[in-house]
Amino acid sequence: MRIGPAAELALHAVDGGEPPGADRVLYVTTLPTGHPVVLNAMAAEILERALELESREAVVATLAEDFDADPDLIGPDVDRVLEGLAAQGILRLEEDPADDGPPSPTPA
Amino acid sequence: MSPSGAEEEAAAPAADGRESAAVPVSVLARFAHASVQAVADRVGADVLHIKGPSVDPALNPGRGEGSDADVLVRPAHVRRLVEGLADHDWVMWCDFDEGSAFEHAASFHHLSFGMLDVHQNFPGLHRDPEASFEQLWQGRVSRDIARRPCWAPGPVGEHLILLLHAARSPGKGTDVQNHWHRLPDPERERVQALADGLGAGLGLEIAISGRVPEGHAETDLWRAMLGQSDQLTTWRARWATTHGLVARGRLLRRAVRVNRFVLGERLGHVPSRAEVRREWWRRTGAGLRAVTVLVRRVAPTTRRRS
Repeated sequence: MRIGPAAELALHAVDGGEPPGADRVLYVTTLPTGHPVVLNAMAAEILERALELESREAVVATLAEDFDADPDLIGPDVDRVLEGLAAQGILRLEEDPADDGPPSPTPA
Repeated sequence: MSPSGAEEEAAAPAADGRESAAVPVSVLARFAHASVQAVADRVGADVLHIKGPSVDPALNPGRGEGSDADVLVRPAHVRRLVEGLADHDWVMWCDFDEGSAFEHAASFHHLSFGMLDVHQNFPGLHRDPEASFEQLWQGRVSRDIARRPCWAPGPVGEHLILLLHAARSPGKGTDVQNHWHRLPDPERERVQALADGLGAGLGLEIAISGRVPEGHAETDLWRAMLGQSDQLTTWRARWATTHGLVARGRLLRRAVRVNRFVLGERLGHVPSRAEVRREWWRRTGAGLRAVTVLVRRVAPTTRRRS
């Protein structure tokens, strides 16, 4: 699944926790107008990776690696956050055509 | 949410469906800055972000981030920015000629982002707002606010803006420390040169010394800006520093215009047309009475002289 911002975004993280990052909160809104959405540390991690990597599969893979987790277990949680962000008008989710059917023949 | 912008927080939905959470006012102010820059880019308006979260944190130790957003707009671009803001859910609360007697800023409110002040000129840089803006614009730097690139004055312009703000806002000692007393001499010389070049030398002097010197052409104007003058003296100071028939005619009309925002705050509700009319008559009458008293006070002296 391909991911991109649904609009221009503004983001601001607040970290009041100890150890650093534990209580991280990320606020995000669309621009020029919108409604701020608040994300907990894990949802923030998912959004920031999604904006950088632009692929659901890459988000799941890097999270699994960095947090030593099973991709099959965290996949549904990632999907729930991504769908929530899409519903808020923050992310645009598109099925990757390469995910469906057999791969296209590669030109010689 | 209160239109005052102070101490307000906005409720925000959580993306994963959890309960709403409060957004701190300092975050709202950052989003307001980002929003106005996005609008400015869309309508082709030049804006410089001033004060609050737009200030380089390294230059501003000990200062809070503010609860609203402030931008300075190129005077020729005021109209397009105001129209752009209206198109993106910013509601004008107080027009330029309804705010302070100096008409330097208009206030806007956004239901999600809080308050925004758009300055069409900056007190102290009022002699030639267009030239002042251009000078600051030439030294501009890009600064990320809420990860959105925004234009801010360069360090020298930033020092001057914050010092001029301190000049008319007693109690801004931290700003004077940060943007004057802590600066190395060569940086101070650059700030002084910029102030002199923009006709802002008096404002800078007031910021540094904390007092308004006597005998300057703008002494009365600065006293008025500091709230040290009565209404009539304020208008006389503005009259003295306003040049040209058209500008003075506009000033006269402005003098009796009712500030609907202030009247609404006093009444506790949006004023009706009848209430605005009554206030207009009250202001006009008060103005005439003040002028009459002044004429009576001056007249005997004048007769003795003649």
